[in-house]
Amino acid sequence: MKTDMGKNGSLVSRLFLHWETFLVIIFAGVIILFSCLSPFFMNYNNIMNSMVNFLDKGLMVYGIMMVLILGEIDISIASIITLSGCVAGWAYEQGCPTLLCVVIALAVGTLCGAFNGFLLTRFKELNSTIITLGNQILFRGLAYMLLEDNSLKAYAKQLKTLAWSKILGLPVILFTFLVMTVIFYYVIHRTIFGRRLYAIGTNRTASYFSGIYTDRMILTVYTVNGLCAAFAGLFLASKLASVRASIGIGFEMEVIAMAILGGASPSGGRGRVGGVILGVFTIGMIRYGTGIINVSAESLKIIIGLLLIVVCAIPNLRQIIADAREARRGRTVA
Amino acid sequence: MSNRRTKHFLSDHSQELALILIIVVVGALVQLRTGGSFLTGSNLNELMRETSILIMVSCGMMMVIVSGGIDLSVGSVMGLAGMIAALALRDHRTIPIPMLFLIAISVGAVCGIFTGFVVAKLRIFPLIGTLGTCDVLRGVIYLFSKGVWVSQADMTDEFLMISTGEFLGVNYLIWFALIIVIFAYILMGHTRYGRHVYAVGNSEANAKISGINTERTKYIAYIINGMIAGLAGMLWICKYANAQGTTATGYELNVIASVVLGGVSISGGYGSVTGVVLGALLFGMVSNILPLIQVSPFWQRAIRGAIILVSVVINALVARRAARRALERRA
Amino acid sequence: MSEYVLELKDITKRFPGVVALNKVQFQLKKGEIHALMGENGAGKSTLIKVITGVHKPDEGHIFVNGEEVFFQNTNDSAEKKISAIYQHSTTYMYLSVTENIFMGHELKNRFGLLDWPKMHGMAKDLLQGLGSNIDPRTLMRNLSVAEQQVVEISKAVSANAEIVIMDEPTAALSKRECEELYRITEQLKNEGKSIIFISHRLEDMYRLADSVTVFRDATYIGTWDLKDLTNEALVQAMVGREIRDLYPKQEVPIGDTALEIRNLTRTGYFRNVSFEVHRGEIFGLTGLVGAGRSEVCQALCGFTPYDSGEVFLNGKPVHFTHPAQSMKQKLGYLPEDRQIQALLLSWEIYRNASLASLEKYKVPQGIDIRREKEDAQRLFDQLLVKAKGIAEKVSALSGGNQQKVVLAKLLNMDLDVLILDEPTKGVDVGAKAQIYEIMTELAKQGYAIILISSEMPEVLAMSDRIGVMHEGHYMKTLSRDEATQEKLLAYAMNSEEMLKGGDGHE
Repeated sequence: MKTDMGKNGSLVSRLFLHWETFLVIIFAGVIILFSCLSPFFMNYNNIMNSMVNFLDKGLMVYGIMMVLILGEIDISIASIITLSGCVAGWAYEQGCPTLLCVVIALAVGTLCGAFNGFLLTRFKELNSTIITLGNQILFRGLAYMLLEDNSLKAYAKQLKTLAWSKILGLPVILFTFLVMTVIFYYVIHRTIFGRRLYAIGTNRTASYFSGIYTDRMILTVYTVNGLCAAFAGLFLASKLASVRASIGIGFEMEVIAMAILGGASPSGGRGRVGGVILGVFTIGMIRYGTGIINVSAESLKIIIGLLLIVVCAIPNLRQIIADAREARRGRTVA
Repeated sequence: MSNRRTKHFLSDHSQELALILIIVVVGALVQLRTGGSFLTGSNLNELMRETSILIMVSCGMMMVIVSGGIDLSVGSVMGLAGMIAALALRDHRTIPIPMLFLIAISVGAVCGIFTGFVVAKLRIFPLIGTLGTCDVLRGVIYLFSKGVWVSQADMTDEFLMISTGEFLGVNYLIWFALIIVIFAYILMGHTRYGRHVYAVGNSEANAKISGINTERTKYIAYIINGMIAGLAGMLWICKYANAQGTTATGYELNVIASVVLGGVSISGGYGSVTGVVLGALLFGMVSNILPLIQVSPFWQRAIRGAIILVSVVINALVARRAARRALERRA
Repeated sequence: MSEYVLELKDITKRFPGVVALNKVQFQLKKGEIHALMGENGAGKSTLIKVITGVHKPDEGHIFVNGEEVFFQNTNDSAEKKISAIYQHSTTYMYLSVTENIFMGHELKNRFGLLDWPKMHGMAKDLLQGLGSNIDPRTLMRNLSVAEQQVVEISKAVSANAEIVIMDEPTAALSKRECEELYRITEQLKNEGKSIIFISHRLEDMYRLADSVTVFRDATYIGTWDLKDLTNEALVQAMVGREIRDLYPKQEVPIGDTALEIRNLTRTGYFRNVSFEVHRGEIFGLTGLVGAGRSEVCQALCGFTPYDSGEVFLNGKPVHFTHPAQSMKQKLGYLPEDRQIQALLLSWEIYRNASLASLEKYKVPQGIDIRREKEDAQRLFDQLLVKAKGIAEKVSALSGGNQQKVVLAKLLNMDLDVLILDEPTKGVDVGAKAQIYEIMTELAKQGYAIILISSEMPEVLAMSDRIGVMHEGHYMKTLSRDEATQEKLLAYAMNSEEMLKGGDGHE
């Protein structure tokens, strides 16, 4: 029984133990596959234009990543996008200037996130599954109460430049994603806050006994997560050029898939920003590539769903195989 | 002694009793408010008919939740089973009705095997695993239907009778619900398997020590849940007389809301079929009442979310009070 | 047919980083009550899990009635009529008493359904047979701990167990409840069942056991008939050496009062607890499991709330509501369960050592990892942690070295009052001695130390003064000179005859 082979192994074998190495291979595989399937895939302009189709989810990925590092989950983020977008749109109709509407959108997202965190820390008997499930329905429900079946165009049109213009030759959304990456890399991997984040996800009790304000941390992470979702909502509204209560349905699955593919785990304490970037772009390239070769949106759902399942299963495989072997051994002895 | 037993009966069944009380009070209030148009025979029959599918699927979901899991894919399973049954009917109009039931239930079973594999065998966190299967199965519907609807014109009258016909003056759908409820009641309360589901949900580690095959127990719960969802999916397309790619989208949330409202612990191990039926009834009743008292249909979703949150919070508070009392008794 | 109903030969069981059982023997005769004794971490609980098939031994043989068996899981051991009542109750809180009794071997009626009336009836008979009138329809969570234990025993009886294993059954029971348990245990013995009884309490053993087997540090020490065994010999066998040799307690000048609590109360846990600790002093706090020692200390540090009472730190009244506050005021707590409450097992030693004092390493670009590692290295050397280096994962360390990492975490903070909750639990002898040395050294440096421990010899040898608790009440403070094992035990059990009669045994 050698469990720590990696420590004595060569550099190459150590490299292969890293999830990120696998990710690079998967990512390269995706790129090569689509390059073979379509001559239009490897086109700089096409790729840059595709960013707006998946990086809005990428903007939420660090929020959900922090939630996962804590060992929690949040499936209400898609509804937070909708509610913040709808409230801002409604405010615009009431005569608020665009900038104020943006602030309102961000504030609503932050409040929704904080509400998740509040319920979770206040009622420890409940888990994040049921709380964010309830809020997923509630937040979107509030959006429906506000807008009913209407779609508001004026507010979103004010934001139109956001999705399609460029900064330093890069699409705004890519630029924003890069800025967020730098910020979150620093926060998650360099600061005391980040260290404590991983500590809580690894062992919450021990973290509490080490004097970490675990509740405050959970509340903060969920609040930031809500803010990230509201941010993504701005870009989504800008891309769609309208807001209504049915936008963003199902986003949470793709965002969670990105984070988990990137190495985060719902059991907590794992995942690195580098991996998550690869997760975002792998799923993004799948989305872009399947679009180019005309795969339907529904088939894309199947692909991403299966990818999520496979990616979640991989870390468990070693244990599953070991248990199966144990059971077999048991049967032959008895 | 009998006094003590009554007291325990009251405390062990407080959830059910509270639900009955709420149902009665809400019913009476609405009766007053609507000037007697609520509690009429036809409206009640209609209410039960509307709620019967919800009750069925909630019974399946309850098994999964009691075992310590959750299944976000039931809406997709219903859509898929319904669509495949509808396609079979469209392409072979002479197909016997029992055959359609068999098809729908088998499709549900296959979906259940898939979900069970993901959760029990691959040991993926149920919420995330079923979030994945939910989308996969929804996508599979489109693979089968190629995006077209199956409308009333494609269905036979014989088939549509399933949702409108009556036996002993009671709608068929209600009979189906009754059969599933009795099945679930016996399975969960009076078979070895059912009690093992509770044991696994109470504590998986202890269940292993008791010699229970926890993996298989969970697996079977997902399969039965899938089969019930498959049946419900067919009844759904029959009731609404069309099948589309989006059939029953998001229905899992109504189901989970009913189960939670029925007092089932979301972390597993606790809850009764009676409670779930009452929870689903109350939930169905609220949905039925809202239009009667002129609440906009656009409010329903928010009300649903609020019902889930409020009921879990109340459950948590009640449990806290019980724990505090137990401590005071010890002191 | 063998002389023994159960025989274990040369059983070895290893866990990552620890040998839990090292070539141990065990023999159980029919119809006897066999006490299994040993300190914490001696390997008793692991042995039970091997006997019941929860763990598979790495080496060795198990014989039931002379026939070799290979248990793969608990079903296999149940088939051989072996039943265990575990230390941490393995009940299903939300299920009824009947179900807890019959889980895994339910009865069916002729329709293949569960026969509830029959099961309820049998459960009632079983419980009455044990002299208890618990209603079998009650949910388990409505019962007291003692009642739950009776249910567990009837579960073993219902499975027709011939070998019943009881793992620390008296730990959480009151004196009256213990008597009830003794009665039931003897009743089982009279019915011809063989019983393995694990307990810390000498009292249990003297009341019940026919023979005694002692384990120490995962090895087998010996088996004796109870009547051949003196108290000293037993303690000697359990501890393995002259007690005083192991504990290098040195006299240290006692300073001012560092921590004082007055009438601390938390409903349901402890009531009106008062004591004080001085600088340079080691204050032992002892009592049986469940006496409320940890609860008092956790409340005063701010882990849990308390209802009334006062806490003074260096003479100033304080009220902590979060452990971070007490740590800031230089009050530190080493929790009892280091794997769950203190360590991040998958993390490196140095990141564990700095977890509670990260603020120290704050620099604009984040955490000063160089300084963090330097500090960890210094403590690593000072505490003689046995590991490859500070970058080693804590999970790879032995119990003793893990505990040193927890100590390093405490010492990395700037503290002057330390509360050590069972610091030597599950620690091998060598590391134990080192931990005692560290404690003495800390007392010399002026730390005030509260030592919570169930091991009487340890408390007696290490403490300047000793406080004893019983069921949430603070019983008595004894000075180093007046304290004896018998007195401590008498106060811990609140046993009046023992208090009057002096030493009860031998």
